[in-house]
Amino acid sequence: MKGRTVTVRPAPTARPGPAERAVPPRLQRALDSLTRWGERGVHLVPVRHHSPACSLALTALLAEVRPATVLIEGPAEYTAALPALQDPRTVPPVAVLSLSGPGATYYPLAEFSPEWVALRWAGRHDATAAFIDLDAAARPSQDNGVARTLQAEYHLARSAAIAELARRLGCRDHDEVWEHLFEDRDSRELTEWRRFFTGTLAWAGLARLDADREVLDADATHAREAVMVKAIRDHLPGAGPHPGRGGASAEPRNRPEAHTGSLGAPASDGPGGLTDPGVRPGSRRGPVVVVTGAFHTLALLEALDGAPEAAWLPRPEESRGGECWLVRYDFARLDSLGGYGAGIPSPSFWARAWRARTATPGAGPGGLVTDVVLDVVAALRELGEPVGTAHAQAAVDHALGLAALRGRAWPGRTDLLDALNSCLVKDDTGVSGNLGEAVTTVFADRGLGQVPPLTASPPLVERVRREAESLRLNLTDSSERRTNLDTARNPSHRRKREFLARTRFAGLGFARQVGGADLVAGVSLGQLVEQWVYAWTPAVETVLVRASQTAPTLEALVLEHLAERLGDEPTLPELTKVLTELVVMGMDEDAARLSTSLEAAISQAGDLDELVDALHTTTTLVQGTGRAFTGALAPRLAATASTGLATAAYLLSDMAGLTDDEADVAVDTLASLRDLLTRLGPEQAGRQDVLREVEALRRNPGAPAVLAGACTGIAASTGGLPARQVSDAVTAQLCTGADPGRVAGFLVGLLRTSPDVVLHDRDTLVAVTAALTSLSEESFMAVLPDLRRGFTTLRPIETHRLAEQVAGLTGTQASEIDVVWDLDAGLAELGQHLEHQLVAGLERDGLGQWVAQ
Amino acid sequence: MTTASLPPRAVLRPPAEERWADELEVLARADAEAGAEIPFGWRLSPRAVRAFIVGDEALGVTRKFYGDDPLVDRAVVTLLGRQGLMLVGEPGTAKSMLSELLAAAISGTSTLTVQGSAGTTEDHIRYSWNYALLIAEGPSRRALVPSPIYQAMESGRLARFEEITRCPPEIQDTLVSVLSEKQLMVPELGDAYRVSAAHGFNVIATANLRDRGVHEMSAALKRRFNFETVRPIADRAFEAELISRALEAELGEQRPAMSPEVLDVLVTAFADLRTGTTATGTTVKRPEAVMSTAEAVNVGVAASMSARYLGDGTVHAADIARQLVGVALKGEEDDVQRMRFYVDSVVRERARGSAQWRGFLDAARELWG
Repeated sequence: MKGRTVTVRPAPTARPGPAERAVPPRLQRALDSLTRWGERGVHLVPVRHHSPACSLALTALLAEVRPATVLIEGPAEYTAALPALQDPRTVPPVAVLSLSGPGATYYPLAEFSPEWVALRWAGRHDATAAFIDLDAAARPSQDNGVARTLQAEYHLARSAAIAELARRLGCRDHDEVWEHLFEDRDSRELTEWRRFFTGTLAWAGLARLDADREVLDADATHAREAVMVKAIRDHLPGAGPHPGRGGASAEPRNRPEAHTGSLGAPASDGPGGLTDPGVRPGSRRGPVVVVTGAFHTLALLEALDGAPEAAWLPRPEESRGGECWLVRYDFARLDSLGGYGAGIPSPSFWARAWRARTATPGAGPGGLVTDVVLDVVAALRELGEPVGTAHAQAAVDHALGLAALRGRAWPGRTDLLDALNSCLVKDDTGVSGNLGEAVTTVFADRGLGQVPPLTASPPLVERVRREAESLRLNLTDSSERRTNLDTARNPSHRRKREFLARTRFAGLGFARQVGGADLVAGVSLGQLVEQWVYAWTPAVETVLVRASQTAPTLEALVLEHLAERLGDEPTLPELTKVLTELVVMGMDEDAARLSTSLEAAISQAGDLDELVDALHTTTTLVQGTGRAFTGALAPRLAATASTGLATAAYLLSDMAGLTDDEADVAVDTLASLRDLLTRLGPEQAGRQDVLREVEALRRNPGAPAVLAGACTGIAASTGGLPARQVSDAVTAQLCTGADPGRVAGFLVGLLRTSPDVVLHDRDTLVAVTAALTSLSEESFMAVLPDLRRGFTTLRPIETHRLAEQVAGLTGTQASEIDVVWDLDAGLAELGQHLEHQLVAGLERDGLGQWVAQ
Repeated sequence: MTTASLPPRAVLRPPAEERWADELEVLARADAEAGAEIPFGWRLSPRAVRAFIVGDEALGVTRKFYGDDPLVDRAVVTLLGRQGLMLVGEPGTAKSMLSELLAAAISGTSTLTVQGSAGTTEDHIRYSWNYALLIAEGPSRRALVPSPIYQAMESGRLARFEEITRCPPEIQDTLVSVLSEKQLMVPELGDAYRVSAAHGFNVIATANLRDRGVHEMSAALKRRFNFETVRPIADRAFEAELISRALEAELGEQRPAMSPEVLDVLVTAFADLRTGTTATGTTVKRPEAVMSTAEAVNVGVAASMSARYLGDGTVHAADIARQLVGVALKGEEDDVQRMRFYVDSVVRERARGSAQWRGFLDAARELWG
């Protein structure tokens, strides 16, 4: 052991715990009491949550004591979950889930958790088992996180005594202290459970003596211990017929709705049979084993003994029951490094250590280390880092060497991480980058546990899961997976997309589209393939469990969200978006129903821009039938288009009175309207109404010049005006003596809606050139900014062609009017480099959207 | 005159094995009494080596390296294997001291050292010749002048290579064959003449991240080293204790009075400028100059000397400010600006509530305007 003298290096089996030095009197009393109660057949087992060492010692204890009653720290209402937890088909990691308000609390269990070992033993040996802690809903939240664990170990992390212990032992933190003192012992030593649990009580007792009474009052530690003490008393041998079973109420008072299938629901809900274990017929009197976090054991002993400190505990609260569910869990979330603050870090490593110790034949320390190092190396190679076998061998040797130097019988997590750091890192970055990623995949993998069908999770969870699996989506673990769907040509891909879109609409957090043709966003519609990612995480199950309280199926959940989205009087853009989403989800009938509302909204639209956008969207849906089944919807949407164009015509008639600023904005809408007319084709009903109003606006001398230009462009490009009349119209607008501002405005509008007129019609170009060359220098400079804006709509090749034509008209060469920047290549490179830096800087500061703009 | 002929007290800086000869002796005895297994070629058991560096209260062995015990564990285990040990880190993080302590404890000597520089040649790493003898006798073992690494291989001890990244990469690569084959050829003495490393031989190199860094080092050489990064001390209270102890050790009886407040000014100023942020989160511009704990000790020593011989016998914050100039301003014009910014943004604010910082501010203004 580190920090001890070299001369008195003890044999590995004689590792003295802190209790063997100067022991504080209160702790000494508790240690004596632990032995005394044990002799009376009441074994309080001080454990650390998710500790394989505690589980090994507990296994030995259970085999020797053979208790009749097993009491476990955990909300009393979870007793109803015991049959599901004890079901052989349940495979950890799993978690019992409670929902309270907006938050979710988890009670995770891994194969190496002492609580798991205890409850499974009880199930196999027909012992009475019960959870004895305060209800989950009665526990105050420790932090602001929405998800939290019921097994948080904040007091150990904050203890000054344990921090001092860490300093003296040369350990980094309280986790390494724990590992060093308990976790890395020889397996045989761990089975000497009396000695082992005396040590864990002393270790946690030091932290307990550090903790302020007020803090323990405030975080409900005392309230929880009061409930636990009452439950223990009720189960003591000779305590009379189990009165009320402490907190372990057999009949939760708030019986949930039958369709939710929660663990508090009646036994007839599923084939698993949710009988109450508290009234097990074979229950007999005998030894009692109480498995709780070691931090509580000292207080429980004091309360049982009636010590003065027992007065700190309040009156025990009665259990009010509550719903809970069993959900699949993964090691990534169990990992306290992931931010949930419970249990020992790197659970996948400890799962391997547990198997290496318990399997026959066990792999032994060398086998464990080799196994882990090879997996990390394999993960690194997959990430493109070539790591030689020699380095893997060196890392194995290094880990074993560190464990030997530190006096550990089994190499621990820190020994392995140190070895990987020493042997695989070739700079000052430490365990980060690819190595960090490889270590994470091996030390906290994302494999999910299994729960028996229909016993513990609500039908909604199972239905959605089964549907996903029937669509061949991979839900074997919680990793994110990508799928490319050719929805336009492959019906099964389209069904898959419809399912993913429904889960997205219902807010499950299961899937999202990341690329390809996206009807909802209206982008990349030319592409054939849609790219989606999905991941079945515990968070998805949590949302489903919560949702199952009101919706029995995914469709019902979607409709619930649909009703919420539509609320009262949705706007036109919102309506079209929802309609598109319904189509993408394959919900034709609902979409058809919604199209009635849409038609009404379109006929009452007051904003031409919103209207044109909505019509573009419906046109996309009608024209994109290959990608999404619009079925009976298509004719209705087509009818919507004619209504829409009529409304557009009506709104156009009001535009003559726009101010110049408003008109500048409206030009974009007119350009979009022109595109819409092109998409709908010459036969579309309502088209002529629009063109009529366009013509009227064009001829209206009071209309802003930019609108006149835009309308001339529309008329030219839709065939409303023959070519000859177009150049006449342009000439009329640009005749000598015209106001330079109007000239510029007209040109901007014309170029925006129909650049082809200027590019390809020689007469028009002549008129434009003449108008511009006739402007005085001063007038030209005044309108130059507007003209620049107008010509930016042209593509570079068009600009070039136009320049050639203008040069021809004015008797010069295009190259002479081109501005040629003679730029040094080095300077250009420097500029490019600066721009990269600037963009990177903006993105680093979270201002990436500026760049996008 | 060699250091060996001087009594240890008279030597300005005796090597670790002489300075802590008593402790090494105690540890060796403890190993013998416990029957500890000692690796071939080592003077002490790995745990005793560890105890020599991180201290052992029961045996009266002092702690010499602070802040990262797991690093020491890793370094000791690395030296047990075939890989060399590369200590990298910012200047002044006690890399060289750690390498010296490891060499002293494991091999009993820390003086087999190559100091890397731009002028280091292959001869410094392999061997050179006594040219008078070479001309007189021709190539012979007697005429050969072995390098520290040659000697370490022959005698099964640790060789130290300081500032390895200061050498050109092709010179660094001379080590590749030494580390992989553990042999050194001397063709001048015949085709078969070679020095094979005895048990106990290994190399501890140190590299400074501020200079050329390790990225220019060849992959072949990197592969033969385990890298350990020595980081600056992050805990300010602990750094204060450390500096105080170092000043005690450096100055002994000559140490003038320095109040805890003045020590706090010294530690805080260095920590602020090193990390680029104050304890309360105000951002400070970090100077290019190295602001390590070792530099803080140097400033402390200089300020103490100035107070004792030129001042009133007590160290004031103004002395710290004046000595800081020598450390923080090493020719970088921008550093002057950065120091001014520090004085304007942080020191002025602190001066309102503290007489010590007031003194620091006044002296700083005289120096930096």
